[in-house]
Amino acid sequence: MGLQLVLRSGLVAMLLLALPRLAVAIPAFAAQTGEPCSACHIGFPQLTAYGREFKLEGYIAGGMTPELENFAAMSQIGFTQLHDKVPGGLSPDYRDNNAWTIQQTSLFYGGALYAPIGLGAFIQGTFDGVAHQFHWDNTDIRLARPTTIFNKPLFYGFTFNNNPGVTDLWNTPPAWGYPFIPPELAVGNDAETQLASLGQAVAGAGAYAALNVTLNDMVYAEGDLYKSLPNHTAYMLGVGPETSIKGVIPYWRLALQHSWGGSSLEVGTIGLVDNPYPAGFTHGATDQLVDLGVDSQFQWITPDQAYSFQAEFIHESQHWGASYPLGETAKLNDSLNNVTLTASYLLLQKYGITESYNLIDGDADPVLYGAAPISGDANGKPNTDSYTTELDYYPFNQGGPKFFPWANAKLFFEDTFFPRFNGLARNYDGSGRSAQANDVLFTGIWLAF
Amino acid sequence: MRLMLAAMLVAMGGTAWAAGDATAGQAVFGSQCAMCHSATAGVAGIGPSLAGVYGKPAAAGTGYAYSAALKGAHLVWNDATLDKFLTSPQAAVPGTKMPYAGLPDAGQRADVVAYLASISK
Repeated sequence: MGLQLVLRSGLVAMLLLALPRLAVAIPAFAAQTGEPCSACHIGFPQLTAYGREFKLEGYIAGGMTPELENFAAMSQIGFTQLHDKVPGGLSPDYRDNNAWTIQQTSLFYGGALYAPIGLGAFIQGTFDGVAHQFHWDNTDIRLARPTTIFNKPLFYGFTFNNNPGVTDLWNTPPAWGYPFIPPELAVGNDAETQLASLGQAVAGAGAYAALNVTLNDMVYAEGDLYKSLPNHTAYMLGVGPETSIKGVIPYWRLALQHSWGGSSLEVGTIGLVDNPYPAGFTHGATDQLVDLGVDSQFQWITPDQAYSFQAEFIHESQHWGASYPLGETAKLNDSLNNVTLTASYLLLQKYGITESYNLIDGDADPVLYGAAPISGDANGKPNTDSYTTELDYYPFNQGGPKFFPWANAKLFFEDTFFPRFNGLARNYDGSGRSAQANDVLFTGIWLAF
Repeated sequence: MRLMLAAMLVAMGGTAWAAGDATAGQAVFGSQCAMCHSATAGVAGIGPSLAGVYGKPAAAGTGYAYSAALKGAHLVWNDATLDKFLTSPQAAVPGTKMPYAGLPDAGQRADVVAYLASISK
């Protein structure tokens, strides 16, 4: 028995080490459930009703304990073309425009850890092909239990995770919201909310509950407490240097969902509070950032068509109690708003089109948002608008080729244009660059196997 | 005496389930089950067809890959097992492929069981 266990463990270890070369891994959840990707996703990664329940109930459906099929891999390969080149290169080691990259290659464990107690996990490790670095990625290990309260079905659970919002069931929070595959070689604007920026820099635990108040109405509530990773841990996990934040970071989520058949309407709120140290400090006075968001998602799904609409608004209150006295901001208090509106249509589980609008709008602060070539703000405002059109083709959404039924792929074409970038349409950086110069076409393939 | 009482309760329960309203059950099936399950024999969706399921061993149908958990549960779908499963699938059979919160109302469960029995004749 002991020898068998050792041999089996050794075999599993050898196969795991061989995963990237042999590509024997398969999309874990599809393999565990025996369902095609379309059962859980509208395209991917948008979740359907089945996908949300699967996640809510701890990733255990169809599984019992870890199997080889619970390991999977994915790769995002794309070509990036900006309207104007970026002098010096799109990124270190990349040309100034028109560049191919394998921007992300990930390994996953997904599925049941021990189904009898409702223990399951989604664990992702990623090689960032732009930064040339391996790092831990989205992780959610959860324990979910069914019960009843007032004769209403209730699923409650506990989670350990590393990204506020990664536990979410809807595709509105930044962790799983649009863009689903952002071009890493594009020029990024210089402001984002804490909800969009703390992923992998923190780790925490929380609890959640989903109560079916009627057969078609669910109330979901979640609360988590995060801590920023210590510097050595951040470097060990490939996300260093540390994001220095004092104390714990409370995160909350409340959502109501009404469903009919496979279709649904969700409205919710989300938020967090953190107290970061000014850059370069790990103790002393802190700033305070408060994110408060509202969101809504609508899905209408038939066997041949799927419509979805997501809307999210996040307001961030910024109190620079430590940074302002140090001269790192021009004002004691600022604010930042983020709006994301996304509409998608999927035909026959194969052909998808998505339109998305994103707005970052904040107070003018010429110290916080200073002029600099390419990345700066000449007028001290972070305001950026973008419109994205995405066309997708999913050849294997209802099942891969016979020799590899769980394989999936997404051929994508994304075109994003910026009417305004970092505050201005023209000469936004003070060095003559226009917002249009950052318009970006990103096309390629997202493989899951 | 206790055994007799228990037997009577089980028998009464069985009577109650058998007395479920298949027509009402069809409506509940339509809103809660039909997104994944067909009532037509041989037509599988995300879940297997439920036509003919009543009275049959669980995970015994063809044309669908059942979970190891359901195969290993060695259930026969009758009033009692269906009632327990519909109350909370993951509690009844941890690891089942059916992620569903459950039908809390005993009357609605009885109706659905009656409907499943009606499409299994």
